[in-house]
Amino acid sequence: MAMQRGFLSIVLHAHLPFVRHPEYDKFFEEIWLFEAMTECYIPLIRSLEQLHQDGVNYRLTLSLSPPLISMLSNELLQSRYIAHLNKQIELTEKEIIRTAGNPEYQRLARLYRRLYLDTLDIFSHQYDCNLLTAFKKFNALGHLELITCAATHGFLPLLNKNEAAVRNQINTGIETFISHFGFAPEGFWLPECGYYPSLEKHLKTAGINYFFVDTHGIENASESPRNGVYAPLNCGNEVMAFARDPESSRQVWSSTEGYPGDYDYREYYSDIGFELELDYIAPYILDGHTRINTGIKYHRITGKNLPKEIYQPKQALYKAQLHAQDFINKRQLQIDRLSIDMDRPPMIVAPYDAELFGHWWYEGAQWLECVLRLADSDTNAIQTISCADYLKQVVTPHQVATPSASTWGDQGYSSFWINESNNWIYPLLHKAAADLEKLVLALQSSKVNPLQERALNQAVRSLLLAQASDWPFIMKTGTTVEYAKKRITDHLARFNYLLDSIKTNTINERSLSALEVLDDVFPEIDFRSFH
Amino acid sequence: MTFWQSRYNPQLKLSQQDLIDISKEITQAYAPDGSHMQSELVLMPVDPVTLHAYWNIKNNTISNLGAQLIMRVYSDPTLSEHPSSLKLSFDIKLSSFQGQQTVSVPIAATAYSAVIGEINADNSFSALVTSEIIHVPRETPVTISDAVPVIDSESANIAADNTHVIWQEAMPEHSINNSEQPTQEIPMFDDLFVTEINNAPDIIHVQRENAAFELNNNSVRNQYTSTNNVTVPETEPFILKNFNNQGYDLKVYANSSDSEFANILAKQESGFYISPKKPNITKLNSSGLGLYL
Repeated sequence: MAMQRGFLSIVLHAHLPFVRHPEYDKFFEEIWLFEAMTECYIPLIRSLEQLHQDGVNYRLTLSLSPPLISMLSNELLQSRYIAHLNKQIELTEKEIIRTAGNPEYQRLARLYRRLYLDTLDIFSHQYDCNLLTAFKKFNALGHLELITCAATHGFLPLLNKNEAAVRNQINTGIETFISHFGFAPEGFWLPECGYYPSLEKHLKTAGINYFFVDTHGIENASESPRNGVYAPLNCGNEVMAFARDPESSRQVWSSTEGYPGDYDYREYYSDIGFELELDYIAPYILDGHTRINTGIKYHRITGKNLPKEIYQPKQALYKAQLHAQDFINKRQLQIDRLSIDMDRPPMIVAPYDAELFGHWWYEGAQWLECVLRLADSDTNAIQTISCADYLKQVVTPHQVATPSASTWGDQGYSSFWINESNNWIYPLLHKAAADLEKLVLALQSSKVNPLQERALNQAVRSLLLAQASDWPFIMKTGTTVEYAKKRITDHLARFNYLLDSIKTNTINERSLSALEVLDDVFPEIDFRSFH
Repeated sequence: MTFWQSRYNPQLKLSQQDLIDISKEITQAYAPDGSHMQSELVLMPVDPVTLHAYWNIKNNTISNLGAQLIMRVYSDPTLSEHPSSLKLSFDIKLSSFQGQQTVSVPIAATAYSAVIGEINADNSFSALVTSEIIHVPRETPVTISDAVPVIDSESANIAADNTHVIWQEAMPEHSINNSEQPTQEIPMFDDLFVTEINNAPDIIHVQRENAAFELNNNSVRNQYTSTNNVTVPETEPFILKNFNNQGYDLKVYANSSDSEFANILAKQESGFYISPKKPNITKLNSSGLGLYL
C-alpha cells in the first residue's frame, strides 16, 4: 500500500508559575525557571537553530504562558539567571577536579561545563538575555507558530462560577502575548486542557481560532466525531477544537512504556546534590544545608533495582535517534490506517509539556530535533504543520459539535485541581472574583484618581496570581505545599487589602508601591476590563 | 542594600526589608478566612459522576437551630444532554452551616442543582439556599442508542425467587413545598440504564438488605414478586436505598407506563447495583517542573 499523506502537529506547552521574589537576594523556587531555561528552553532553541541551519523544513507550535513570557522578559530574573549559570559553571569546574581519578566521570563533568558555557553564550550573547527574542526569530522564519494561554494558567472549569474571571484570564493572557510579540495568537492553550461547553464563546470574542482538548473531549462530543480525533470539531462558532492523539501521547508521556524510560537515558533522580558530601556541595544547594537537584547527573537509568551505571551521552543520543525513527514510522502507519476511513488527510496532534523535554527527559530536545528532521525526509508522507496552517489548507467544512468537558489531567477531568488537599481555595477565589466584578461595575461610570486606578489594577493582578492552577496542583502532588498555600494566601490578602483601602478611601501609596514591586506582572492591565 | 521602586512611582523607594514587612503586615491583617461569605451553595462538576459542593449559611437565615440540615440534590432532565423523563433526587445530611463535600451523582451528562434546607418538625422542608444548575460531563461517546433507548428484554428477566423488596414503613417524605420537581410525560430514557444494559459497565453485587428499593407511597403497598406484575404509582418516587453504597437513598421519579422503568426495577431487584463508571484514564503530565508521574 502506498504511503498516505497526513499531518503531524507537535505542540509544546511551556509554562511555569510566576515566581519572582525581589524581597530576597535569592529565592529557592526561582530555580524552577532557571532549570527550565537551562534544560528545556535553551536546548530547544539550540535544536531549532540547528534545524534552520541545516535547511530542514519543519513546523512546530509553542505555547508560551503569560507568566513564563513575563519571567523570561524580566530583568531581575535575567540577571539572577546569569548568576545561577556562573554558579553552575563553578560547580562543574570543581567537579572536573574532584573526578580527576575517574576519567568517565570527569568526561561528563567537562561536558556539563561546556554545556553551561554554551548556554550562557546563547542566553547572554546570542539573545541578549531574553529568550523571547529567539522564539520571535523562529516564528519570523516560519518554523514556529506561537500561541499562548490564560493569564496565570487559571484552571478555567473551576473559575467559571464567575464568567468575568474566565474572560479576564483569557483576555489578559492574549494581551500579554500581543504586548511582547506584536501580533495576536491564532490558537489558545487551555490550561491543563481544561474545557467546558460554552468556553468557546469567550475564545471567539477574544479572536481565537482554535484550541486543544484531550482525546475524550472530542470522543465524547455532543455528536460522534466522524473522523475520530484526527480532524477538528467546529464548536458551532467557527472556533475549532483539536484533540490530543492518544497513541503519540503515550509513546512519549508514559514513564513505563514511553521512550523516556529507556535504560540508556540519563537518570533524573541521580544527582550530586543528593549524593556528595554536604560540606562539598553546600554552596550549591538550598541555604547550604537542604539538598536539592543541581543538574549534574552522572548516571543512566540502567534498569530496575540495578546499581546505576555511568551515563554514556553518545549511546543516549543513538537511542534518541532510534526512538525518533520509531515515532515517525508509527505515525506513518497510523496515517495509512486512518486514511482508509477519512474524507481528509488525518491530522495527528501531539501536545506535550515543553518542560518534559530536557528536564525530565534529558534527551528530549534531541529526540524532537530528530523527529522534525525525519518528518522532512522523503521516507514518509508526513507533513509537520501547525493547527492554523491546517485550517488554512484543509478547506473542507469541519463537523459541527460541542466537545465534552474534559482536561488532560489525571482521570481526565477536574479532580486533580479540586479534592481534599486544595478545595478550600475555591470559595475564596470565587468570592474575590465576585467582589471585584461588583466593584468594577459600580465604578464603570465613575472617575477614579490615579492612585485608585493603580490600586484597582493591582487588585486584578493579585486575583490573577491567586488563580494560578499551579497552586492547587502543587497541593495535590505534595511537593512544595507550604509555598503554594502561602502564595494563595498572600495574593488573596493583598487583594482584600486593596479592595478594602479602595472602598474606604485609605490607599497607602507606600504599601501599594510595595505590592506593585512584589507582584510586578501585567503592567498594562486595566481593571475596567474585568466584567 | 537593594532598593526597589514601583514602575508607577519611581520616587518612592523601598528596601527589601520594607517589602517583607509590608507583605507580612497585609497577610496578617487581611488573610482570607471565609468569615465574610454570603449565604450560598455552590456546585462544581468534578467528573461525570462527581460534583463538589460548598456552602455557607448565615446564622440569621436559620429558623430552627436544632433542625436537621439537608442538602437535596436534583437532576434536571430538561436541561441535560439527552431527553429523559427520569428525575432523580437525593438528600445528604449536613453537619455544619459552612462546609464542603464531594457528592457522587448517579448519572453522567446530566444537569444537577441543589437546595440546602431544614427538615421541620412536621417533616416539611424549608429551603435556605439554592445552587445554580451545573452539568456533569459525558463519560462515554455519543452512540445511536442515545437517541433510541434499546433495552435488552432478556437482561430484565429475573427469576421470581430472586426478587426481594423491603417495604419501609411510613418513610417521611414530601411536604416539599418549594423545590420538588414535577414528573413529565416524556418518553423515558436515561444514560444510566442504557449504559448498564448495552455497554456492560461495572456492576457491583451488594448485600440484599442494601439492595432494596422502595416505593414511597403509603397507600400502595405492593410487594413485588416478579417483574411481570410491577405496578408503579404515577407521581411518587421509587427509592433506591443506599444507592450505589453512596450513603444516600436515591429517589427516582418515573412514569409507570414506561416499560423501561419496569426493567430498571427488575434489574434493581436482581441484586445488581449500577456503578457509575469512573473514567479509567491515567494521564502522565506535569505542571511546569512540578511533577512527572
